[in-house]
Amino acid sequence: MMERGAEEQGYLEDFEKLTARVSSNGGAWLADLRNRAMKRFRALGFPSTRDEEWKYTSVEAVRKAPLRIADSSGADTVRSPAPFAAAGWDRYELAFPGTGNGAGGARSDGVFIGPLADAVDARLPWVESHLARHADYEDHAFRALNTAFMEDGAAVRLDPGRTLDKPVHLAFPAPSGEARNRIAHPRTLVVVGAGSRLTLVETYTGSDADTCCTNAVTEIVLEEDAVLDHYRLLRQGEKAFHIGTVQVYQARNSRYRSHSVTSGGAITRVEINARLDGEGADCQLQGLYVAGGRQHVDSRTVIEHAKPHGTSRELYKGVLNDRARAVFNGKIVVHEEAQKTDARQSNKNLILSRDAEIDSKPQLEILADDVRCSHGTTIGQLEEDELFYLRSRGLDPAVARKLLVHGFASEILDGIAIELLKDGLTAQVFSELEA
Amino acid sequence: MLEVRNLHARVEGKEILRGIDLAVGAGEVHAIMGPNGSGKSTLAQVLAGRDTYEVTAGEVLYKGQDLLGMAPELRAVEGVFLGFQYPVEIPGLNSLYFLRAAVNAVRTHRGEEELDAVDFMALAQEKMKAVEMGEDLLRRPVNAGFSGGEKKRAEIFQMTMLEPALAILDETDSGLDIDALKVVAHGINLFRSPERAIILVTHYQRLLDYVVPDFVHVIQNGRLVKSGGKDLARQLEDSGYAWVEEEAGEGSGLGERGPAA
Ligand SMILES: Nc1ncnc2c1ncn2[C@@H]1O[C@H](COP(=O)(O)OP(=O)(O)OP(=O)(O)O)[C@@H](O)[C@H]1O
Ligand SMILES: [Mg+2]
Repeated sequence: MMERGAEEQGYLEDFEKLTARVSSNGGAWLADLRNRAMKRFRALGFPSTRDEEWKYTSVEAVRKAPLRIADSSGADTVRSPAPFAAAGWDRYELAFPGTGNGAGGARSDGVFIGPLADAVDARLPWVESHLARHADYEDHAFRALNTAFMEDGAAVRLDPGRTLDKPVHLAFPAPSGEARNRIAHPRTLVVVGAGSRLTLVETYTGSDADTCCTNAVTEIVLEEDAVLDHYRLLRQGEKAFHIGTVQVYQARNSRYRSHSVTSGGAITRVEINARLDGEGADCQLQGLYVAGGRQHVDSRTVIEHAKPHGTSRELYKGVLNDRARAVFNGKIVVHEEAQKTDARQSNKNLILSRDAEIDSKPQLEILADDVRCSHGTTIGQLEEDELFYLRSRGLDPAVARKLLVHGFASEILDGIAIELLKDGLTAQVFSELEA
Repeated sequence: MLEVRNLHARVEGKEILRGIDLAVGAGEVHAIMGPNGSGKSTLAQVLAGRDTYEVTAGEVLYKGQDLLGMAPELRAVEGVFLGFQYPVEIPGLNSLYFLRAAVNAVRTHRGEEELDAVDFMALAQEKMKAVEMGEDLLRRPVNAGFSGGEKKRAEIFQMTMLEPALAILDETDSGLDIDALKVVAHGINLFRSPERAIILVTHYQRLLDYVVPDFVHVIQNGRLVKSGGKDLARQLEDSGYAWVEEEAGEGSGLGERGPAA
């Protein structure tokens, strides 16, 4: 603890500033939550590679960077990065920072889409009953930090039986631009009522200018029969750190479909955890990570089958170039009670350079006896005979490679139902590989 | 058009082509026959530029140029087409997208304008009709899940789209039902012209009933051991390869050329 003090000092000062600023909002429970989380962060400190959960991902660079929270006075201007998709896709949008109280989103009968701070101020009961109840920070320093510092971010709630006419887009530009060494802790809470349907798009973007860190947590609650399509799209600047958690709680017969696309960033770690806590819940995780240069990208998923008749399908694909390093850790837990679970997981990697590396680690913890579970990992290069086939039709080797990589990634990209977003993302993945 | 001289090639230290001589002129159709493992596909792949095969001796001239010194994609845009015996499946790669890129690579090389999506589609539809290929196949990834016959038909379709000068068709007739064989043969005959040459690698007379070759060659053990006119194929169909082997016994290695007409 002692020797780590220096790096943590900045966080303590920032925490005092923050609590002075926001203490009046949201009531005692929130102040109490922040204090507990901060205490927990101080006890945990940043993880090291001696920590089993962080064995392959060193966050030393994050720890050492003199990261401070952005100044809310507005002195930190944020350069808007290029958007993911061509303008024109129809959505409700909240952009952070910059969405002040009462701004953006939509509020109508049975629907709340707005800044988390507004939802807290309004003392909406579903906020207190769900916020920080699912994303556990006891053993996770970054989630603890996020919980202590949460300020910007969104709250979305659909009452039972609602279907939104368009997707909700939450845009989080990385804290950069004029500001140097900034850290942001976006926090989002999404509660989808029984039988309701929602499409949620979260984008995290950054410019290449400066070191910055985004430490995001999204909590999602799906009540009975609720359906959520969730796109979590990441395009960070080359000096950016991104640590993110998506924590999903699924009630009976709910369906969660996640599309997580990650590119850019110096160090990226995205954890997606789903707890299937009602019978017949269905969870589908699709992921694509693309890394080049010296980027490090770590994808972790935990699918916890707690009740019978649940299904889960997971496919994560990675494309690695140059000296990039990727980690995939996919854990499936089947509780004793969760009979008739059907869980399948697959991780496929395409390695384009001799110096790129992947550590892929599936983990199955199965306590029930009547289940179907499978997992598989592949790590390969471009197929020589496919390459030759394309060249024999006149395609330049560079073009042929690109088409084959595209073919590999399209299994994930084609799953993106919002056409403009799919096109933008496809183009982005390719520019990333060419850079 | 094509001059193969004393071509030797090996793979993994094993010599497979052991002195091939072959001259193919514009407007000609040459059939190459021979037992399994004799080196037919190896020859075809070496001509297309596959680098798994190491050329250890000999030379190949294509339109007077040194073919072996050219990259596979250059050979393709210069007009050499290989119809694969086993076309690969490439899941995830859209057929239309791939083929348009290929057609435009050829056009760009010829100094022609690239086709846009609309013009490309119009051309594709016209050519598909000729080989009676369903448009749905083009909507699928390249060869993905195609039946054996569909793959071969798709190869012929690609050939007609790319309009090569020299087409090397490696067992394009294998695995085709009678109707498909006729369709494919029809496609090849439409393609046949005084400016073009075709090398048909085949095991069966059936194809040659529809696409009548000017020359027939027998390859055995990496050498062309016999050449003749279209009747040679029929003789082979009746009597197999054993008699050729016996006949070639003494005179092997002569590397016969197409007989002077
Ligand atoms: N990549 C390779 N590695 C090892 N051996 C090879 C390779 N490619 C071809 N061969 C060998 O070379 C020989 C000739 O093969 P080739 O495919 O040219 O025969 P083919 O005449 O086309 O036969 P078929 O009629 O069965 O298609 C065979 O013995 C084959 O096993
Ligand atoms: Mg063969």
